[in-house]
Amino acid sequence: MKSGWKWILFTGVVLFQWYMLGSWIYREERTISSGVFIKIPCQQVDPKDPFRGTYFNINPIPAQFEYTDSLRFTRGQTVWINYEKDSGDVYTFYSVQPDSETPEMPVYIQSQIKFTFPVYPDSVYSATLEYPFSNLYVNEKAAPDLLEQYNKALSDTTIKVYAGLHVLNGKASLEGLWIGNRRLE
Amino acid sequence: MKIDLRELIAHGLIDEGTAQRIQQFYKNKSRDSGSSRFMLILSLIGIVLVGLGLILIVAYNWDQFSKWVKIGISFIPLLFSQALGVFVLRKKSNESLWAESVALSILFSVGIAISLLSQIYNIEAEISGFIKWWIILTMAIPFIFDSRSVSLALWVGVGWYLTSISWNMDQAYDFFPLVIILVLMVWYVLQWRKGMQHHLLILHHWTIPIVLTIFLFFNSSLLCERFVVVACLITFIGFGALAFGPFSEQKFLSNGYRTAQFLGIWITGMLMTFDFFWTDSIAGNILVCLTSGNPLLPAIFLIALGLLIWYHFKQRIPPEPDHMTWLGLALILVLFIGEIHPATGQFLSNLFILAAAAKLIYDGVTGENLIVVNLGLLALTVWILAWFFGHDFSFIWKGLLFIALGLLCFGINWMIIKKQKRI
Repeated sequence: MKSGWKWILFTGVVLFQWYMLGSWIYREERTISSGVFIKIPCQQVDPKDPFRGTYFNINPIPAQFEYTDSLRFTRGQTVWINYEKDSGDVYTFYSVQPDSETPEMPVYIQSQIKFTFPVYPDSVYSATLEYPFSNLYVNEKAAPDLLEQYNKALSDTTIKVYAGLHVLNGKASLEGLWIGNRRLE
Repeated sequence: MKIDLRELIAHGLIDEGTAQRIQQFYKNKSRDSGSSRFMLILSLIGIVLVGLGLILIVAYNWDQFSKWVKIGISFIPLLFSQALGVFVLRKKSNESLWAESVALSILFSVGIAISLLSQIYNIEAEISGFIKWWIILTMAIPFIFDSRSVSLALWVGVGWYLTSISWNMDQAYDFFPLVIILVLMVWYVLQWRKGMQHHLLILHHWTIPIVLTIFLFFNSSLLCERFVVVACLITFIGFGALAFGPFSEQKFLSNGYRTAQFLGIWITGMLMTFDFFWTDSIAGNILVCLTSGNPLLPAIFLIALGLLIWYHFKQRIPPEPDHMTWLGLALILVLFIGEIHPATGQFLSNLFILAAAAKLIYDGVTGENLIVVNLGLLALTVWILAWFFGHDFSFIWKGLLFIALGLLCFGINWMIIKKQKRI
């Protein structure tokens, strides 16, 4: 390959790398600054990632939902998860619909169907949801203490655990975890 | 380059001084290439360690910085390595040590940037998504810097990606591995013209057949169950075409395709000798595969098979010592026969496997090649072990057969060693 082509390719690669990484920052910042801040209820934990350190595994409620029309949802399908306002900035699950339809509620998150399976053959089906956010990364030293607080809160049925998100046009940016009204940090 | 300098002096082609200068030149050249290879290895190890170290230290312990400081830190290694890339392209483009080092540093700095950004914003939770973007953002690096180390890392990355995603195809087909494999393959084939013996390229000759085999299984759900076996055999025959075609001059350790071909066809053939392989058979399943569902992939594989047979008959491949290509072709035929009559299919599979093992032993004995003999004996032992443990024979027969196998192994080896010593 002639050196001129290498220069063109290298310039293209550098621009592409900065564009892609920059666009991630732009997308996240736009969602944080212009999106609605909501808190949604969630469940339990997990360990480590080899590159990105210690994290909490966020499992929002619901993990799955039921439906009756077997053709409405398939594995890998992109869907809207609609939320309705509960109190303050806490939102609860309202419905799931295919992304080809207009979202039923003003606050919705783009997500995917992970699996589908019949509950009662030919009448009720169930689908598991794959949320676009599942890991909250935390500092290595602070992790054990935070993990203990988190697990204690989850085992105490009187305290609710929420994932705080900025949501804009279906895109969600995870902000943090809340135990009741207190942010976990 | 081997020249008898004394002969050139005797014929008056060069004088004594020129001969000394030529000697000195080649002495220096060999010393330089040895030290630069050592430097290259050290540099590559150093960059890999520094890259991984930076990811671990920064990513795990930077709570005290503000978000924008963290983002700034994420981009510093990338900026630095890209600037170094400009320097190398301008001043050191012909020095492989510089080119490899800077290519690796760009690879790792992109990895660092993605890791840290996804940590800051809690994005791309799945490891497959992380690897995918890492590969996309760096796939042109081998072309720009002629970097074998980055190409190898990308092949390993593709293998990692393939093993970290779902192979179930209820969802849209993921074209990413296919595209990346094609792009990396172009670079790899271009390298053949420069020689196949570089250490990092030799590692490609082992990594690529492994990744391609994983890729085949990734695509397997697009094929009917029985056709996956045909596709496997065709792929392994393809490895054989490479092993005995462009790679025929390579030593055994530089020719991973040969091992992949041998092991692949042998393991597939062994599986075809078991009862379970044939009991679930549905007659005509392969023919249904060819006419319904997704005919594109079976068509591609069958065209590939046609080309491979044509290639073989054009005599461009020197005769193979292990005849695994023929075993592979025979097994494909057996699969079709077995679809109509499973018992015949199983019988023929056993027959061909046994014949291939016997042929290996025969070739080894006549060629006095201990490796080939023992490979044949090993193949025979594995077949007998599998067959005997799958069937109900008395322990006396099992014991006697093992003693006979042991004696055969000992006897043939002793005979060849004795023959070689006599010569």
